[in-house]
Amino acid sequence: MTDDFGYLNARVRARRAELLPEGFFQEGLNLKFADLLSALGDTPYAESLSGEDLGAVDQAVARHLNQSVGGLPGLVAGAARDAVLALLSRADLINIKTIMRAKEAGLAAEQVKDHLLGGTLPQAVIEAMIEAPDAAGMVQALLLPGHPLSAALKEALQTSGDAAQVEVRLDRAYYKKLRDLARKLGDDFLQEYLAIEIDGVNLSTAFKLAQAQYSGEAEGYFVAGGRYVGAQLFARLAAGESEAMEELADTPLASLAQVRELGELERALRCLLLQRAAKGSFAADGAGLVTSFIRAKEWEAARIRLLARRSFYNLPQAAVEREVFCS
Amino acid sequence: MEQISPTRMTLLQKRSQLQLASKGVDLLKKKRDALVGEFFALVQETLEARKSLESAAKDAYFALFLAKAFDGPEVVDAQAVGIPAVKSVSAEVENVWGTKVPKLNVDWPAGAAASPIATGGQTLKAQEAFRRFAKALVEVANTETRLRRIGEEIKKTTRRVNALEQVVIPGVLHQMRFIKLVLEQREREDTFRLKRIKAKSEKEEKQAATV
Repeated sequence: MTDDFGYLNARVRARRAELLPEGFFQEGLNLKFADLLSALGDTPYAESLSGEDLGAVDQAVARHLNQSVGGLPGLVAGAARDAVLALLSRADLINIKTIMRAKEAGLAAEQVKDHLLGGTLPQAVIEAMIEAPDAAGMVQALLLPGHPLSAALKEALQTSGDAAQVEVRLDRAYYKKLRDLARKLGDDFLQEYLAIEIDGVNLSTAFKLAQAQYSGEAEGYFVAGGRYVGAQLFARLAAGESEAMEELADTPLASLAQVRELGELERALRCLLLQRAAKGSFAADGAGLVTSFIRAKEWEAARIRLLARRSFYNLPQAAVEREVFCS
Repeated sequence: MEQISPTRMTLLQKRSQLQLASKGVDLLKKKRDALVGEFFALVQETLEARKSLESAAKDAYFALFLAKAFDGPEVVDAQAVGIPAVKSVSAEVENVWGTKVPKLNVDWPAGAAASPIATGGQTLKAQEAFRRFAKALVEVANTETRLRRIGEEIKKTTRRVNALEQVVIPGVLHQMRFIKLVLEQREREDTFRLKRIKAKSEKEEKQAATV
């Protein structure tokens, strides 16, 4: 292993050749399920595809994503490894929250294991967290591997309160740690990208709160570390003042200024983050290329799952077309 | 026909039975009219509930479709672990014109089922859509069960009315006619017998006077 983005980027460049061309999705939109399976058979997904139903496609997509992206942290060490772990650690956050909820609901260990994602935490740590009698035991298990997010998660878990509030604190701690990590790495691209991602998370959260007509203190849901979405704008949006989006007109988030609805926001945000990540593919050094690759693979996986579902349920093209393409 | 003793007492009993049966028919008809009114009022409500259920199911499955596509099926499954579908369910029994109708009362969890920060918008939308679907399902269960119970009660009441009008009341009337005939016959026989006795005693008195 080497502590060098150069080596990681060389490996990522080789893997980028496996990204499916845009034409695949254009054609895939019109295909029947059997034809889509056959088309996938001519792609790198073929070796992961073992079956002829929707579950088989989902499994193939998950396996392929795990092979092409999940293995990246193992290729490098040091700063490069931390950067990749940060980009992939959302699965850890979901796993920790899943284990917490399962403990709260009194589910058996076996029932929990079936629902856990790959993530970056070692299997032994996952097992220890599942076996832990309570949240404090989970904290102990998390401290051992020295995972970049362990300390932040520990802080959130140690604060008492109801499960829903602990989840909110975990989410906030997760993004705080991502931001701190990007700062520590000193990678300009990663800092800029994560700041925009946090802005996106805040916009999305504010719209979700407004949609749920949340009447409490919205500040508790605000994630610090974004660049263009401040706490005030967040509070206004959470209160249902969607016109406040126009404040973003003169920022890199200008494409979101006219958005007034959550679904529309998520579509526009997805495309904006993809464009921002894609800029990293031109970076000669640093975390830009790997960021762009990871996000492109995740988007590719989502699009294949969408196309597979459209053709499997025989839905009209129009039902998914605007979700599959960024105009 | 059952064996009856054709006496005045039985006739009085039958007359009282007839009054009771006629009163029963009136009451049952009133009950049936009330149930039919309730039934038709419920039909519209049930159709609306069914329509809402279909629309909620469509929205929920499409939201789940998008959530599984964007966030991944594994992530959506993981985020559903340990989230209670309901807080509690209780059933109460309502009395509608003597008909026992069960009603489900569900205490739904308040607010979003997961933190809105790191949970995908589509997943949260799917959670909310499935909660609306579950609510619509309970509403349909309540209205359709009520409608079915009331429909069954209307059928049962109609059968009772028909049985009283076409079997019980004609039967009692027939028995009353029979008792009246027997009593009249007995009266005629008594009159005839008395006349014969009277004639015989008059004849004997005449002979005694002659001697």
